[in-house]
Amino acid sequence: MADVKYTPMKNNPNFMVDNTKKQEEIKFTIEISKNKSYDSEYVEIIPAKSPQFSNIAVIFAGDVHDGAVGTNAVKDEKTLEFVRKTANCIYVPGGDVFNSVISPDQDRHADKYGLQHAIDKKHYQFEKILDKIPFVIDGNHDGQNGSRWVASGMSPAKHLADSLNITHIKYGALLQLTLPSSDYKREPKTINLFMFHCAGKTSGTAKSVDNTFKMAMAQLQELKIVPDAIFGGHFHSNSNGLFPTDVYVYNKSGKLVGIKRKDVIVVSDSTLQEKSDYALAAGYPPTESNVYINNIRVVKNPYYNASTKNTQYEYMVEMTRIPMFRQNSDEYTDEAKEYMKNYQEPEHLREEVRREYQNISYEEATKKLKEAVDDFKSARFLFDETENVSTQTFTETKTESLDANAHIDDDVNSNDGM
Amino acid sequence: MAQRKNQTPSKGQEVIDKFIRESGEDFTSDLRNNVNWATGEEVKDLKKPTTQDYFDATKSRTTSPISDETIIIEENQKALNLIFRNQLNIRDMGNPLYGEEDKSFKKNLTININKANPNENKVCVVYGGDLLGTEWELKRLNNAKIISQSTLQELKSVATDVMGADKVDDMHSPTEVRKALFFALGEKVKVLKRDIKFALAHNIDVYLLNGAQEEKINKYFKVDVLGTIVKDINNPRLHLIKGVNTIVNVAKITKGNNRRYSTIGFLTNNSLSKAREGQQSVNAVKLNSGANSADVVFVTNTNVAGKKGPRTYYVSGESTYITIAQKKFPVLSPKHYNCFSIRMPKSHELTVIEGHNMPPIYQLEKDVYDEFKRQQYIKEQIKENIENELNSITSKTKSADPVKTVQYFKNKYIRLNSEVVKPTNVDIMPNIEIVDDEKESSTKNTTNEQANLETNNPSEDFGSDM
Repeated sequence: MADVKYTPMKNNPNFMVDNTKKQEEIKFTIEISKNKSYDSEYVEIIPAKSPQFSNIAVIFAGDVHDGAVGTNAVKDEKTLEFVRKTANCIYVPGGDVFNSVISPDQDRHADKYGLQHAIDKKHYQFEKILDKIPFVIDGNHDGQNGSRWVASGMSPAKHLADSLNITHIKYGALLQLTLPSSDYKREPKTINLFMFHCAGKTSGTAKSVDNTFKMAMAQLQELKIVPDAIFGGHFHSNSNGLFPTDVYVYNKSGKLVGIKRKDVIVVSDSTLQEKSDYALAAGYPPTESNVYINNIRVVKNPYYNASTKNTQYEYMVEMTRIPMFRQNSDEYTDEAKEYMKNYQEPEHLREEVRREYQNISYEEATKKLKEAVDDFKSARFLFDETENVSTQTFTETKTESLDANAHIDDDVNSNDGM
Repeated sequence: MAQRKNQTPSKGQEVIDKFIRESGEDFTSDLRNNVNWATGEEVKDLKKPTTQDYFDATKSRTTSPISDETIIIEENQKALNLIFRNQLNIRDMGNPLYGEEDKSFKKNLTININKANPNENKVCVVYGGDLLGTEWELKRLNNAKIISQSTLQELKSVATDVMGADKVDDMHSPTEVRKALFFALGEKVKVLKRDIKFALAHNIDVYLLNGAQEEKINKYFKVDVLGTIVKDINNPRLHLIKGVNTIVNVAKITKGNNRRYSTIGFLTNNSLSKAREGQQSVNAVKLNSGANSADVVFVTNTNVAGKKGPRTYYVSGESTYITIAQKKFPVLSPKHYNCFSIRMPKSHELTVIEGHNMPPIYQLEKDVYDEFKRQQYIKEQIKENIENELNSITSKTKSADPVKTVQYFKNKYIRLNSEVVKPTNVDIMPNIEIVDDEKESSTKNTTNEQANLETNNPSEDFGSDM
């Protein structure tokens, strides 16, 4: 606390005034006013990398509504088991993780158990997959700015994120993921995935995708970035769409020199809340819940060539959506099982290592480990065509965004424009 | 075409003759049986139709939604992979085929077929309607622009390839050729046949469906234009699925020659001149095409692409722009949502993967990941070993200084960690005394290496680097 500084009062110098407190308050207010993270629809940029895998499975789990009547907890648990067992998986709680209702006169969203139980349960479940959750997003049911919590200034989603030491996202997050391209070059490419909960009402399944696209582009306008994919929830619609978008290309001086085409993938994801009193009262039919494995990779654009290089990107994002559960069932699809097997976490190695290293001395263990590391390092260069495939050196290599390939002139810098 | 007697051909007649000639005899032979094309003399002789004529005409309008075709997935084939090609709009100038000039559409099709893996799966290319465009009508010829080109230019480009540039420069007799910028049905059908043959050359099945454009052509010329193409090409792998709101049976052969059945629906005739955004297009489809109760429904020839219902997929088209009313600003049509991989775990249950196939797995990536995970487990195990060793020693020692003991093991641990990640300098081993029950021993390490090494901060927690 700063030392109190008394100064004589203006009208009567015999009276002293404590100006310190006022100065502190003014300073604090100015800081807050300048801080953009308090603004509505603030987008946080989260860089990430995938050093080994050129295919990443993104599971956007919006609208789990844990604790709510009608939520399929079996599918929720199986989804988390899939994430735990799959090495290249990213799991994003996309808002409305909880169903909490704070005021009794809200819409009829009944709960099976209370919020504290739901938070404890999710904490226990997420602890096992902490290395695969980049952030937790607020929703309208569990976020500080949702209608249910705004008066309290609290956020159950933030509480969960903080307790697990995970980044908390209030509005939207732009995940800038760098991964090797799927062709033989395996050049690191950076793609932009925008994730948020979305808001508002919709009049149909297809409309929810349109609304998700519009809201996302509005939020990204300030950053002047056109994302490769947008993930949103809130509408429980289980639908998606493609939106061809113009991306403006500027040269280094800022002159507009061309327009490129990007097909933005928009996903308005499903929910695990199949039936609810709210939906029943509103006349909506029961939703068939499902979770999708969004396999993302960077591939060469077949429409790119010498004559189209000014209007097309050389590389593009290819998303393959694989349903995790069979129709009207809690069983995994055969495809989900196959995916999990292909990218299985090597948990069997833990037991092997334990058997091999448990009862040997420190010196012997160190020697063995050093031999294994040296052996691996020498072997790696026998197979790789480039030196880019490694974890240790990956961050040191020069990475390019997909847009950086799109040069019209040598001195042109491409820039995503809106 | 019957001419009026003792009359020279008029300007209108010349245009009609050109239209018929360029559209092709196969499609125009029945045009003469249209009142619109008859002369005054012929119309005078025409009688009124009877009630039976009426019934015969109305019967031909109704079609069953169930297609005669059945798509069969053999026992050794894992999935049915569909690659759609619709909204080709062949030779339409208002909304051309995307990527035709640089042949990138062919490259795209070949890549899609290869990714779908015909060795393991049943791969089918589905021409989902709106293939022949809208600019084949007589009024288009009437309004066609006349362009003039010098033949010298055309001849020169051919001659240069054959004779060489030096000889071509001697040619001095330019003549002018005038062309009507109009592509009749005959030309469009020729291009479509080439496209279909290119797809068939990959040794896969090809299915043709009618869209709104084909329906209009069929009605105008009173022919089945796609049926004619199937007959001309005459390939057993080429099939025609009739109808614009149709359901096709799909059979999967399992062990013991048993069969599972499911249904796939196609909606191909959707009136969309004003519909732009997703919901508008979906509403237009419901209004114009009705419902389809197949297990999975594919809707082609709309202005959107994506999954718009529990089991309804709106397929992207090959045209450059979406179909909207004229005089509106052209909007690009979405691409890359035209490949689907369908599996049938049981009858009337289809798993649809939105994409070519299950994504490929690169074993080297997995091996590299497994090795780094192994190293991580080794580090954890060694940490556990050291902790156990520390616990065991401190429980046995009586007079050892605990601070120095901790310091010793911490240094040991940091040394291990640094060797695994990056080789660095070896740490100091401080002077300590360790006494156990059996033997008292003391070690002192005063080598020269110690003088150059870093010291560690005793205040750090043991094992905090992991």
